[in-house]
Amino acid sequence: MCPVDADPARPVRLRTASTLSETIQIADGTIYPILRKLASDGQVTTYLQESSEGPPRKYYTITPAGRQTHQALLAEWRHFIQHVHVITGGDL
Amino acid sequence: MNKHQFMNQLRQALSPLDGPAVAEILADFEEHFASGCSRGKSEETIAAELGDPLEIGRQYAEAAVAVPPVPPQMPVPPPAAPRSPRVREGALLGVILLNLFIGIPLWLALFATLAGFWAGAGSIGAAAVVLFVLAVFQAGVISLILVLFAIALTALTILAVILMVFLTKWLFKGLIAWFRWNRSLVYGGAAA
Repeated sequence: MCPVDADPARPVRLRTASTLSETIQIADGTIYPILRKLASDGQVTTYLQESSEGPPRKYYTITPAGRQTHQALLAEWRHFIQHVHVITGGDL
Repeated sequence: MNKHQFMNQLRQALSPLDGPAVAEILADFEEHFASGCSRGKSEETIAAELGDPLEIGRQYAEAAVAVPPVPPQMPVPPPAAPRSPRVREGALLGVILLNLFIGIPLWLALFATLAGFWAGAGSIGAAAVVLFVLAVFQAGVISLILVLFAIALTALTILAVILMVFLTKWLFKGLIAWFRWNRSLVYGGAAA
């Protein structure tokens, strides 16, 4: 699992599986089926690059469609938590 | 669980997927192990952090089922359309004109001729009957002559009727063929 380059000019470094599982209780292996589905849906593209140590590394690049989905999901999430804040009395 | 055990279990859990997909997925995990090892983690630690290989395999299989690459299309036979009654307007106009100016007059004339022939045959037959009746009231040679004439006319009538039956049959067949030809012109294609 390697960092994702959004594009070379503005790299968006997504958390690796390991960093993710440090933050929330989740098995590292969970990320791979999700990444594969994102690739098959055209949200990301992948390419392999030879590595000096071990097998070739797979890199994930977000596509324009993926970026759109990302924005839409972020907006949805913010909308959702706003409403949750209202329901819970505005406490953060 | 070491890497070998983990990969074996994952491979088993991925068995519903096709070969190339399984190879790709296994390569992803090979890479994950290699990356972890290069950071000084043991195979057992990496495997434990990855989670249950059977559960991971199940997630792959679910994603593959949820998004089938290309749903197999059952060859649905197109609903058997009734023989297309597609009328070719130009041909329809032509056929109407053809029948107005040629078809109807021609067939009327032919059937009128046929009716005339039948009337002719009928009158010959009637003449034969009249001659037979007359012969009864005559005597001697005249009667004989009348009877012979009547027999001749009867034979002629029988011959005429036989000919007329065939002629009538041909004429009706011709009329049916004419209708079929007209229909094929209007609807196109072979006439039924």
